[in-house]
Amino acid sequence: MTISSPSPQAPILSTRNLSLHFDEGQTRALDGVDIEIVEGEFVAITGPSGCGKSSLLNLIGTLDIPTSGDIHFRSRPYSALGDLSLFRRENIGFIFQSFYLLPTLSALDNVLVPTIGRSGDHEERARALLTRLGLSNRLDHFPGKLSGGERQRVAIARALINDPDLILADEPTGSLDSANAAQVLDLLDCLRREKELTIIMVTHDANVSARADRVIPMRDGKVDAEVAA
Amino acid sequence: MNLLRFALDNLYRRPARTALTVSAISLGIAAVVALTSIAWGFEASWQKANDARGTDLIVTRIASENTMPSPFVAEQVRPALSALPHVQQVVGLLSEMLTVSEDAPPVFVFGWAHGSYLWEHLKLKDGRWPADDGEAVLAIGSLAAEMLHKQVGDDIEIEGRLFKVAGIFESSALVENGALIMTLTQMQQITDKPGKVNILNIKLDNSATDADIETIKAQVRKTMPGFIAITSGELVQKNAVVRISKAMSNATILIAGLVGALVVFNTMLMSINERTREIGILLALGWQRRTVIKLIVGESVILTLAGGAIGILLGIAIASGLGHLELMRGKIDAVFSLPFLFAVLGLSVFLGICGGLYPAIKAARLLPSQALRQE
Ligand SMILES: Nc1ncnc2c1ncn2[C@@H]1O[C@H](COP(=O)(O)OP(=O)(O)O)[C@@H](O)[C@H]1O
Ligand SMILES: [Mg+2]
Repeated sequence: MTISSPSPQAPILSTRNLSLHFDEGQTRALDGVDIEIVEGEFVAITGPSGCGKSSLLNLIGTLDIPTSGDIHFRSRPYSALGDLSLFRRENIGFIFQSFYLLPTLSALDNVLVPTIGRSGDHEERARALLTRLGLSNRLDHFPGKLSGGERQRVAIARALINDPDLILADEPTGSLDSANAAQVLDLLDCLRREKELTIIMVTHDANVSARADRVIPMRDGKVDAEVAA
Repeated sequence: MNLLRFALDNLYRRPARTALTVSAISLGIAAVVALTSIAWGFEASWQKANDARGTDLIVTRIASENTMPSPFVAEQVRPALSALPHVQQVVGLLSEMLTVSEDAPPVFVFGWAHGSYLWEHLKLKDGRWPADDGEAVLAIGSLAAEMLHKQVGDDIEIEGRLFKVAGIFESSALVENGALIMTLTQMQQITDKPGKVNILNIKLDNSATDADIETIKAQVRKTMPGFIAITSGELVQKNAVVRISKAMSNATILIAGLVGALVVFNTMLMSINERTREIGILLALGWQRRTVIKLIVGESVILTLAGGAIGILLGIAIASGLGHLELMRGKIDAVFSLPFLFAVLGLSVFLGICGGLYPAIKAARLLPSQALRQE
């Protein structure tokens, strides 16, 4: 279900009145969010803890179902997609703050995890990705033997193995020191150009948002219109 | 990296639980294999004895459900049976399980009509056969000789009377190898059953067909009330011990199957509850729900298949070991049928699927965002 990319400048993704409520409306993690992301854009989502950044990313990544509102991917509504997990596999790559690597698998095998159950041999591509991320001498290392920066680079390779168009990163530098954070950001930026990726990144880090094409500030489950203006 | 390696890695990550689950399943499967093989072996060794003797039909009391059919006076039916077409010999047999030595388990003692065809299939290894009905002598099987530590010329006391070992023989049937055989007349004397037999063995001539056998069965039914003519296979089926041991093995299959499925169900449920976050990660990374189901059911089947394979080996060891126990020697010859062992492997796979399916579906239904929030 790869939804092919039209001309740049066209929105790859837009949300309309997107809401996500918990506890029967007691908690409004998202409360009417309208955003639009353009093909190839690098967007940073910022805001205080608990304002709904992860919730928004989860909805965009089809990890959660909105209470109301809809998301369009290349003008097709999610509600019409049917098999969300297939859409996720074809189009989306996730990167998390705490890496979420599987501790008993080598770096190479971790990168291959998203391909399990798919046909074809993906090992060459996995090696190439890890090499591209500067980890050619770490292929057989287990996560426990890797530095934080190396772990996040393995996770980036893993996010790219299924050739997604949209990368969703939830505070990817949040667990890294500034040197490693800068390296991870540089790599993501290069890869974005090489592979024509769109990146939506949740971050607390002013250095990160400074490098984004655009910043979407959030507050209390809404886009913070004042700051955005 | 494929699904099988990933599943094996997951099981390997929790070695203690994997080992415990496999052990529990293998014990259940071992019980199934051991009991069933013994039940069949019991049936088969009696069948084998009758086949080796060349008996075509057996006449017994119709309602008797004893291990050995209840004794009756042979002469009330023997003349009529001998007169039926194709009947060559009608031979009485009286049998009992008796203790003949303080320090050996009980053995089968057979009384066979002297000079009858029953003796013909035995191979004399040492000594001679009983010379006539009056002689208080025994022919003993080679296994019985070994168990009782007796040789030709030794005395054996049975029911207060001394018998001399005249000969030692070898039989292709285990039950006969472990038995003592005397003439029918001697057996009737020591068991106080003059003129009585448990069964009459009928040997037909070579021209008898299956249709002739059916005719004889029908004749017996019609003209000899209270008696029945059956094949040795049917007699074994009728045997209460065979029937009980088969019922027990069936019950074991049922219980072991249920317990096995529950054990693996419990293990997989525990496993997915521990791994909720990880399953969330897999789903976030683009795993299809059916891949999650395949993974969990796969792990479950690996557990039960390993348990099944180990259980089969263990069951064979147990059944063979039981056959070598002093008490069981010469009575049970466990039968390990390959189709049955494959069926047990099939049962193991089935248990894995049954036990793993619900946990697998539960795991696949997780909402990824919720699964990722789990600690
Ligand atoms: N599954 C959930 N159940 C209840 N409340 C939730 C759940 N997920 C998120 N929330 C709440 O929604 C709000 C937004 O959370 P989140 O999107 O994680 O914020 P952020 O990522 O900006 O810190 C928070 O108040 C959080 O406690
Ligand atoms: Mg968050």
